[in-house]
Amino acid sequence: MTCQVVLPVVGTVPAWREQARALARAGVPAEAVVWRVGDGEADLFAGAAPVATRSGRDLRLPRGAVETLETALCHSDPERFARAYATVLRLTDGAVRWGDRSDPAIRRILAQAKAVARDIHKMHAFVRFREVPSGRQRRAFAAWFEPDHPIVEAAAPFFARRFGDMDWLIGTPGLTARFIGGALTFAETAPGARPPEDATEELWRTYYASIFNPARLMVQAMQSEMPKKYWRNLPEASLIPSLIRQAPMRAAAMQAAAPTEPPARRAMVARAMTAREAAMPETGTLGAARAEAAACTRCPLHGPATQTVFGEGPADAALMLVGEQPGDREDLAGRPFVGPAGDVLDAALAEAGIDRGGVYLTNAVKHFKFAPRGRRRLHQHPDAGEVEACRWWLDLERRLVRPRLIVAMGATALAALSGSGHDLLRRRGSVEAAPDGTPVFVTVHPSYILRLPDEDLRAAERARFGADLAAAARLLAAARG
Amino acid sequence: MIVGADAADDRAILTQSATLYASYGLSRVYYSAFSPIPDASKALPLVRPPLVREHRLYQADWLLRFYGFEVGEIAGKGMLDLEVDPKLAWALENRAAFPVDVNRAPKEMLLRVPGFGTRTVQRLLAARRHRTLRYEDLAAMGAVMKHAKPFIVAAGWSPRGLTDAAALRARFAPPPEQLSLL
Repeated sequence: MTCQVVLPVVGTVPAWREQARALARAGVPAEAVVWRVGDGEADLFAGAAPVATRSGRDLRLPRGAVETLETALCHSDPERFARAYATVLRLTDGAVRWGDRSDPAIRRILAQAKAVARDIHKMHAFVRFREVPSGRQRRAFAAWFEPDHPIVEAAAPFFARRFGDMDWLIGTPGLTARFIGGALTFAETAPGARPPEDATEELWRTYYASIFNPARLMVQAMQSEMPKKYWRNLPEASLIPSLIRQAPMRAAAMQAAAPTEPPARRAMVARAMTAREAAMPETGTLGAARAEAAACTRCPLHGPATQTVFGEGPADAALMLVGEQPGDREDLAGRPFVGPAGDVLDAALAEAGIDRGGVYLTNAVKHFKFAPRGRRRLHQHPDAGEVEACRWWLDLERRLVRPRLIVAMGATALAALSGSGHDLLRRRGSVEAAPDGTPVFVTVHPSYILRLPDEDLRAAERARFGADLAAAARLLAAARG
Repeated sequence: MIVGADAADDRAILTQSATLYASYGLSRVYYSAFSPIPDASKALPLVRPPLVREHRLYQADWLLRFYGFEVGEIAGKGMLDLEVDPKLAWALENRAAFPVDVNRAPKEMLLRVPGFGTRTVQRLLAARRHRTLRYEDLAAMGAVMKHAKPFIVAAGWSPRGLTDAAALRARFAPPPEQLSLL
């Protein structure tokens, strides 16, 4: 025994929602309902009385399901209401999982929702209004459109938002949407004439023809974006066949025409730009060295990195700290040790009683070496060739600053200063000599501490690093005194 | 980026894109095949490059951004293959990594299967928590089975000798054309 449900033509989807809730609460199974869209009031128990063969329940659906189901209900398939009701019952019972594509009903609903969304998008793109005489203050427009599915109610709010200060109507074979005085209403379309031709349409056609690029014609791609079924109601569609026909000739004419020479003035400006010299500070100072290093191209690392990160500190510093290379933050900021490793170093310097502003901080390699991974930049250790190329700058800094003690942090810094970075942990805490005789105190790099997996080990290593720096400060004081 | 107006190969173009994404946080690179305009400079070529090259660059760009590939893996030879898409070309060259079991493989390996897009892999991972996936389920999830068949193992499907077949590339590349001598 089946009961018939008649849904109204205007407001079909909200009416279906109400009926489905009522039927589910009454416990009517999906096979016992026949759905129809027609005139008249929706009468729940027209025809035979519904037989409740299951216990009544309230519908419970996952959040994403409701929106997709209601979009799919705007499709033209006559079975859509029955399928949707059966699916919401099965979802509530837990017989099927929302999004499970192995179920044919869910698959059909998802495909229909996609088709409806595409149709609404095309309607937003291809409705063409024509101005009609308006008896009021606001301008009035009318358009005719033929969508594939009954989507007028879903698509009209976009036009209400966009053309809120005008009166318009969009006529389709099914419903007509009217927006008069800010109020959006829907009614069945009465048979009538299409809106008359518009002077603006000639301007639109001229514009369309002039922006057409004959050298980049792709007919198939154009038809997939603007399917032929919409061409009947588009004013520019009449131009398309002739534009396509003329395109090869126009492209060939373009290639045959000889290109013109650039004006002589352009060569003069180019020469002036290359000959311009930037003001350079006097040679032999740290400032000059920094300016020269900014243009360094000795190794390939200068290409992808943002800028050269030169050393920072007073030119008469007694203590010099050498790290490995700038990291991600240092590369963007242009100063050494401003990232996470810099925070560890600052804490250790404070613990050892050393003023950061009084020491000279630098790195063995002056550019950030990294591998791009999507949006991130993964740090990479510089190889021996790059350290060797950048050693020239490190030697220059040592000559200009003349520190009494250098602290080498990490294997790369040790390699740049003493020739070999092996057995760092064994040599840690000892004092070696740089090629010109300056004492080099060996310790680890602060980023080694950050990479340790164990929390307790990290704390212990931080303390040990602080002790190392304190030892270096004592050595310096002893040498001075 | 305009493609084909100078001698830059695909590897240089993709390296530049990778740097822009990683170092400058650019959200999207657009590639446009060079098309000649009236009254262009003498330094520019008169003929436009094949539009397929632009299409392959877009496919490679998506691989870099969403599929976890590196420039060296997809553009190792300098220019991208015009006949097959970059992901399929990589799979054909790295057959040791296949076939991949869709019920057990990690996400990174599933993204590398030709015919599996990001949405397909998302649906796959969501569905395999509840049940074992069969070959029929994969097509319903949006996978292109013609491309994926030789590279996956599912309940009810095994590619057998297809993964290592010598003629596998010929199944996907367009048939060779006989050029005219006249």
